[in-house]
Amino acid sequence: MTFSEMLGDAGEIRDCYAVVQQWVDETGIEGLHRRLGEAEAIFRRIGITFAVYGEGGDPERLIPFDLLPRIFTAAEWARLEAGIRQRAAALNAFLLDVYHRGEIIRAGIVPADIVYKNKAYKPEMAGFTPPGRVYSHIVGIDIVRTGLNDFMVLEDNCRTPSGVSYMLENREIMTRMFPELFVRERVAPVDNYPSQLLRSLKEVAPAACSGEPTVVVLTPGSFNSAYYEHSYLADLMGVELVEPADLFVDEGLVFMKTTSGPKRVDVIYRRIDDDFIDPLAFRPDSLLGVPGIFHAYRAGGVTLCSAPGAGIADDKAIYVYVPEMIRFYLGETAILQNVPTWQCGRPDDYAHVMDNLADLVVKEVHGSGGYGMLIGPQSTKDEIETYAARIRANPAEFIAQPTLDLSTSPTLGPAGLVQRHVDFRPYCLVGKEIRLVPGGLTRVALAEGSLVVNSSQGGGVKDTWVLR
Amino acid sequence: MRISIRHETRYDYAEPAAGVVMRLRLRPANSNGQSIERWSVTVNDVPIKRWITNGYGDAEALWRAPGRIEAVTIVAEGDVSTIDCAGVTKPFDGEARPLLFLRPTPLTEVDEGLATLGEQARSADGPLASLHALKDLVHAQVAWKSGVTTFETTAAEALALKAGVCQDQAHIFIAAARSLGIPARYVVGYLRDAERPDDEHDPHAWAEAWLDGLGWVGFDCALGRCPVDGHVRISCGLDAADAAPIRGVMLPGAETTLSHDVQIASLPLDEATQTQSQQ
Amino acid sequence: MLSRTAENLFWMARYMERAEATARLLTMGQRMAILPGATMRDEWRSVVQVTECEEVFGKDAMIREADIVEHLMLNPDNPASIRSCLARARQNGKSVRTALTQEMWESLNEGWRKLETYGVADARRDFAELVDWVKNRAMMFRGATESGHLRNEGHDFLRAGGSLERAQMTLRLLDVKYYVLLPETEVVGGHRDHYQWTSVLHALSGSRAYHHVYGGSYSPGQITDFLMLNRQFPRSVLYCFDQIAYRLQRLAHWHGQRSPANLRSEEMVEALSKTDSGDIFARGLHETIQSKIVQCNMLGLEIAEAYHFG
Repeated sequence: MTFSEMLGDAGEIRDCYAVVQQWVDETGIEGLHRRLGEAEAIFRRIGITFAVYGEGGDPERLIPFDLLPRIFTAAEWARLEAGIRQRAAALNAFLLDVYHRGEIIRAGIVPADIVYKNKAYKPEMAGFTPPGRVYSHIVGIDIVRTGLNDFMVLEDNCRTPSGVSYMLENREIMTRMFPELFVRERVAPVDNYPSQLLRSLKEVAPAACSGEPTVVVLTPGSFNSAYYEHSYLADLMGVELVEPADLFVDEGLVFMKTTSGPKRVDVIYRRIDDDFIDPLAFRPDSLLGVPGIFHAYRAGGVTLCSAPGAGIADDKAIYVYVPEMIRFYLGETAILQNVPTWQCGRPDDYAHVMDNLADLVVKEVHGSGGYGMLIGPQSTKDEIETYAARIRANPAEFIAQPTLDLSTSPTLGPAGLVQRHVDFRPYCLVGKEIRLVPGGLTRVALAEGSLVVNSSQGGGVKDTWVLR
Repeated sequence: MRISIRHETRYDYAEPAAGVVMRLRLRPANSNGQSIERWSVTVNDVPIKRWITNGYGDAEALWRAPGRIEAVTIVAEGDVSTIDCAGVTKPFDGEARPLLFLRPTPLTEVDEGLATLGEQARSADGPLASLHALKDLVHAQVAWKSGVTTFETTAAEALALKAGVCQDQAHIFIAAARSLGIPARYVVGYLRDAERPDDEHDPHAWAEAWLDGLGWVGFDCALGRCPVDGHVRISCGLDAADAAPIRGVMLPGAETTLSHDVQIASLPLDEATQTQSQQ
Repeated sequence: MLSRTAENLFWMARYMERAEATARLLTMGQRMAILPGATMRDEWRSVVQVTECEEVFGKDAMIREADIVEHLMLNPDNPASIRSCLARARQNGKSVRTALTQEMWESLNEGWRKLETYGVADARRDFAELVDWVKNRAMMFRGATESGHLRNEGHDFLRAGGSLERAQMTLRLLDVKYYVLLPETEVVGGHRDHYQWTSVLHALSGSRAYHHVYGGSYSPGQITDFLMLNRQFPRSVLYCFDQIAYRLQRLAHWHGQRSPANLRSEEMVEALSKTDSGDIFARGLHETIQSKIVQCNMLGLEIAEAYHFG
């Protein structure tokens, strides 16, 4: 049976949702819709929009916002937090290892091929130790819930997980519009995220930096779908938002072009993919990059966050080994479980997957954003057959998981509250220490019964409360 | 052997080019087989001083044009002394793990022909014997011939042509070795060889394969033997594109003409002091 | 400040100013075109010439109001159209989002796609309303800038850009009246001439101010004096030059360094402040205007050079 975030086993309202229930009763559905309209107007005016790749239509569509918060109790959060920190530490330890001696491979735990033959693994990083030994400075971990005490990690995001601006804006809107809710309930604040991020970034300043590090956010430009987030974070951290053409490399250092001439840059929170960041190191046809920036990084003149090649840790083929990584590097048992995963590249798994396609979720190993997925129970016979042909052609490119019964959260529907499936993405910061603000982004699949929460696929967002 | 090298590369732009930045891998590293007596790299007569070690253990530098420029002249020159290590290069500390060099690249994708070649070379006497057999097969089957291939020709294409230059021969060897499960990589350097003086106006290229317990073993399919003391290594990589000694970018615009010249000579063994003034 | 940020601020202000200027120009054109005896073709062609996009219309084609509305208001491919200017200003703003206040961004962002929804017929029907709407956008942007934007160097780039654009637009408007519309059959100073002069004043929202300064009578000399040399009228060329020179001085102060743009802007002020309308007519209004426009262009280039615009 689907776990409802709001309801206990006997159908009673869980304590942590009492305030929300009371608020809904007082305001009424019509009232909530009116307030939702106001909230949307604010979002639109501020310019929080989300461009969806390959879908045509409005390039600056508003991501749907749901008024009803998703709530974690203090005890639930304590466990989640421990699990998230543990995972962020293990993923960074894995990266340090695979770019040096590769002990976990020598130990026969992770197969060499899925690391060294993986495009996300960057040989250019071999033998180099980034400042603070940190590769992934912001780890976004996608977590789903299937029962009162059952949390599972769906995937890791070690490059540049997006969406944190929604976490901040959702809270901002909620506190602005419904201050009374925050008087009634003790919700842990998340608004120190930008200062924590800045602190973490400053802590990984390169060797060449003396004095206060200059941090910048590097965006591909205003046409990027996440541009709003880039500018928002730069703004809240009080640092420059730069585009590649603003930067150049000289004498092993990176400079930005300012009205009073070149200015040194020490730490770059880059929101450009590895392949495009430097045409001299990675894709030579990239027009986006800063030529020589990777050389400056290896020379210790600048820090790139995240490190190029950090993506190997969040690859779907690596995902299955994360619990063993935790054991190998930390000597601990994973606090958050993985979703059972079949690798179609393994003959036994392959047979199982092909026999059970109608019940499974199948994903491309290198895909992201909810594209190119097969959700067995929600697909027609023809769709399954077409997908099966793709798997047969290249089994190693696919993994499969059971169709999870994601928990549902109360969501505002046209005529009243409805139950919709949700997931959760916290943003864990890694500098000299690991930091986690109590909260994250809750994504909700707005279509009835849908399990796809990606904002690119019709998902919406909610404010997430951690109670104290 | 003591070898004197002068490698000049020149880029001419039809009109002054903007935003020219170049990555240079033009400095041999000291290793068990080679040691640098004297080496300098200049770009438009300005010496390059700042070098770092890249992920493959090779020296790497960056040069950025001060403004718009009409031409870039890069000169790498110096003297290297070498000893015969039977083609074996010991790995550098911190360089990429050998297993990385099983990774296919667009230039070394294995097709049926390459897989068959690998199987022909497979020997019951183990990987070293297989690699020697492979080197001999490539040397015998793929004729050294300039002008039939380009820098974009893949290993599979060159094998089908049964002809190519040292780049193609090395690619074929590397792809076939990888199909046998043996890590192999591409090496760029210079060759001093009394029998092949014609080759000495280009940089040379050959392959290396990893053998546990031995290290990186060189195989020069152009010569049909392992490098002895006439080879000087400057850079390596997964294939020719990855190992390129010079890589550059510029803002879109001017047409570029590339020319280069390499001069290599052996030096007398006992007159080290004299060579200093002999440029 | 990033050079790109400075450049975007400079151009954002220019595009907003240009959008407004084009809107004002359309009002002027329409006023002139409905004047009895207007030849239609000439009045609208003058508007086209002033926006420097004659090639969009063709050399000898008959230009009608519908064409003007289509190309100067709605055409997204004509860089001089209001729609293009608003879109570019917003694009500039989006690229430097962090250098703007919330209100400034909102003034750029809100309703920026409104013109997309208009066809030519609707736009002609709502012509007056749309022109007002554009003016309001520009005024709201300036108001938001005025009331909330940090007085840092970015502010000076904004104001310098806006002033430079505005000076050029006043110069062009004057040029249209005097040079392009110079009547062939009518005597200068005739009824139609008079009406055209007042249209220029009207387009620049300067009628009332003009009367405060010169009383009830119109004369080309006084109108020229007012639009070129009056240091109190904020759309006059000299006022704009004063602003530019002031903003560039502040920039020199921020950077601790003067640039050739400082010198030129001060010379532009100096030259114009020593001139009266008699001198201008003696030299030729058209010639004077052309030389000032060239100076403005040169100044734009020097500013770009001094502050490392891309």
